[in-house]
Amino acid sequence: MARESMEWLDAIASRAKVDTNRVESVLAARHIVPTPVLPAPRRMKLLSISFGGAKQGVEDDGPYAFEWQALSEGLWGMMTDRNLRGKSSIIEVVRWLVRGRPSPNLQDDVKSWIYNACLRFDIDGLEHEVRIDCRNGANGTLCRRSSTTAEATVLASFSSDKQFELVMSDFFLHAFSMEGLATWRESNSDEKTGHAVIHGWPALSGAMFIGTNYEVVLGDLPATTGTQARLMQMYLGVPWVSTLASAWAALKLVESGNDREARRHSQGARTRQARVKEIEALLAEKRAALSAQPSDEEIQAELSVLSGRYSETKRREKAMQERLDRETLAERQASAAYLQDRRELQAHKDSMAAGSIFRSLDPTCCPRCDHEIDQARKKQEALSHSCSVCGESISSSEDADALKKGLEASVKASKAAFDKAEKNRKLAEDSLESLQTDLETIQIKSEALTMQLGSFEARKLLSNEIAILEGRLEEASFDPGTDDIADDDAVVLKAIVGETDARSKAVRDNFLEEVSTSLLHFAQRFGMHSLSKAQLRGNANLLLEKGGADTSFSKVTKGERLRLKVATVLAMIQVGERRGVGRHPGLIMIDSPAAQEVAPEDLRELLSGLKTVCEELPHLQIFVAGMTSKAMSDHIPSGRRRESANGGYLW
Amino acid sequence: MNARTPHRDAIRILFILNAGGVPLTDPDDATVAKIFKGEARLHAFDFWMRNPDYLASELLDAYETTSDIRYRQAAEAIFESDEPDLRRVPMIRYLFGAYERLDDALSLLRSRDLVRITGIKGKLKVHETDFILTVRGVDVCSTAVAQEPVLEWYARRSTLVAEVAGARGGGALKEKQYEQATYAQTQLGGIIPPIGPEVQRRLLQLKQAA
Repeated sequence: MARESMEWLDAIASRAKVDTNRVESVLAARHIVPTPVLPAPRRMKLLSISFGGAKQGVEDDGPYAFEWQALSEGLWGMMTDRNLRGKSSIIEVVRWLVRGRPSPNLQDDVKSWIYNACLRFDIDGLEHEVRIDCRNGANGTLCRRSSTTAEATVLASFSSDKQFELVMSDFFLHAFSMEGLATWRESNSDEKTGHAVIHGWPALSGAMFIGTNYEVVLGDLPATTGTQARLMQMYLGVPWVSTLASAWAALKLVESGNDREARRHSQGARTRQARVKEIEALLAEKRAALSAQPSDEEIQAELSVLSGRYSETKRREKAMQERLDRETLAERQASAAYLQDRRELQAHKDSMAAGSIFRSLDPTCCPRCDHEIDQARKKQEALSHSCSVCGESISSSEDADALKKGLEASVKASKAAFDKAEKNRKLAEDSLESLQTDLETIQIKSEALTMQLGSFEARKLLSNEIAILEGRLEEASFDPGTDDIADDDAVVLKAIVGETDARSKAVRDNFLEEVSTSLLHFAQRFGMHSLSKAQLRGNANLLLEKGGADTSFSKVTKGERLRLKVATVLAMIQVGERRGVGRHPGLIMIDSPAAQEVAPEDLRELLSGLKTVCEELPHLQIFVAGMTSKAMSDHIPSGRRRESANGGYLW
Repeated sequence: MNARTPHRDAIRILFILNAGGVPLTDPDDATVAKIFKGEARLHAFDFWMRNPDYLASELLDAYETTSDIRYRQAAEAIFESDEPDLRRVPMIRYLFGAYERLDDALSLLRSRDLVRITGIKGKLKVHETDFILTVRGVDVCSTAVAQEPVLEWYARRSTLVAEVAGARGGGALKEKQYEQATYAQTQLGGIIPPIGPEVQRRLLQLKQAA
């Protein structure tokens, strides 16, 4: 690598605070090539222009053929005494063949009249010829001849408009050692980012044609495309220009990528935030549902308590049942005893009463033999209290009374016993009943809890869902962050742009001073005597001072703009030549405005100036199309001009 | 303690004979008042006297047959006063029905000449034993109730039994008593068990149906 390139590399590395390897890798990755020294300029001149076909729908319709042979350096002219007589068309045909693509300035009807065309031109002593048949798309060849006598070498052939354009573009960019001018086109939509646009040969070739578009100082592309500055630097051959352009485009691309990344990131963040919120809401819902579900542990604990209470109660119930059985038995026994006592008392009472009756009835006969009882026996009984029938002692009723009292006491006692037993039985019954109620309550509660325990599946399901949601939340909350390498790229690219821009600016600003001076000189020579100051800016803006007042290119008349355009191009060529950095091929085709738009005097001064320039820079070949005028005839020899008079056509 | 006394049995038999006997006039003997025909009939009467639950059952049968509410009320009264328990004097089943030798009781009645035992005698055995109630016996029945009010139950009950038995002879009555399942299922020589609870249930059903 050249010394200057090494310096450049080191400067970038120190700017970006990285090592040179990193810078080189970025340069390689972005296809940025250092251009500290420009290749030697190539000269181009037209040798012949010819085209033919048939006109239709005009007064001189029918076949025609235009030939303009033996062209060389110097000033050439095309003039008619009326507008629309074919002089601009000649320029447009040349332009078409050079660019490989017709410009929109070539009217469609005129284009349809052209069946074939041929352009011969010289690049640094080598003769080239492009020949097309354009009746059915562009068909033709591009050839090279090392000498007039040598056989033509076909460099390329083409069979379509697209191929034709590619062939010409390829050929000229290569021949002039020009890199495509990359510029950045900002996107106007938020969705898409800007993109790099390579202004290839069609754009660069604009430097050779000064058309009737007076909007811009240089070329013929609208100012908005931003090629003006680059095109100007191309004329001036400032080093580093193409490097700066590629670095700038690469930087824009990275920044836009970062931008897009950031945009995507922030959009992602928003989406993520929404998603997080969504998940959190869902999670809260599920957690609430889960906490509403009683936990198994609680249920199990409660169930266990209940189970303990149940067995305890059951045990007591069993004991109580046994007691009840005992009490019932006791009651039954007491009842039986009570009944027995009552029955005996009743029987005793009955017996006593019956006994009393029978005692009052003295026996009259023997129940066995029916013999009457005699009086002696009856007397004996009254005396001895011995039975008149059997002689046994007759019991007193005192025994019976005592017996009755005993029986009554028994009844009372057994009744008390029975009452107590009954009470005990009832108590046992009540206790048993209450225990059984308890058991039932426990049973019901246990069943209800067991049912809830059945919700275990639901809990499990909810727990799973919550776990999944938590996972999703974590995932959704994760911020992938930004890519540091991209930042590094941008830093290096910024350093490249900064360093390269500094280098090219240093050279260019120097040049621009000279160009501005030269430009003012040419403009004055072209008749703009009131112009006191001209300043060409790095962005191709042209600031002027006219009649002591500040103005600019876009504010002056079309005639003035034509002259300023030509003056600018010539000034840049002149300075370039003088400084040895000029890269213009030397071919300039100027289409002048219509008669009514430019004063004859202005045209005269322009032509006079051009003639002088041609003498100063002998390699220039300048074609001027204009209205027939004395100025044209005066400055352009008849052999160097094509003209038609009396409303005739040039072809 | 054995509450059984011959006096009690005797007074019960006396009331039965009085309630179940039909007037008897003997032109040759002015002391006779009534005649109770058949020992089996006496046994049947005695069975109902001694087993108020069986009587209640019979009363309910009568109620169902005649729809006379007095029978049902009578049955109800028996249970209300705990009679099946208090008044029960167990009997033993023997061959064709409840049976118990009444010799002691009858001896007491005979010795006071309240009852005279007679009958239709065949060549080898007695075909029917009849019981003649003397005027004195009838008098005792009425004075006894006045002297000892506790005996009124016997007067009333014997009257009720006589009413329920009607003109049915001893065989018919025993057959009727034999119908009663529990009674029939009792082993020969076994104590005839109480049927109070069943009868009470039946009474309740009949009351509800009424």
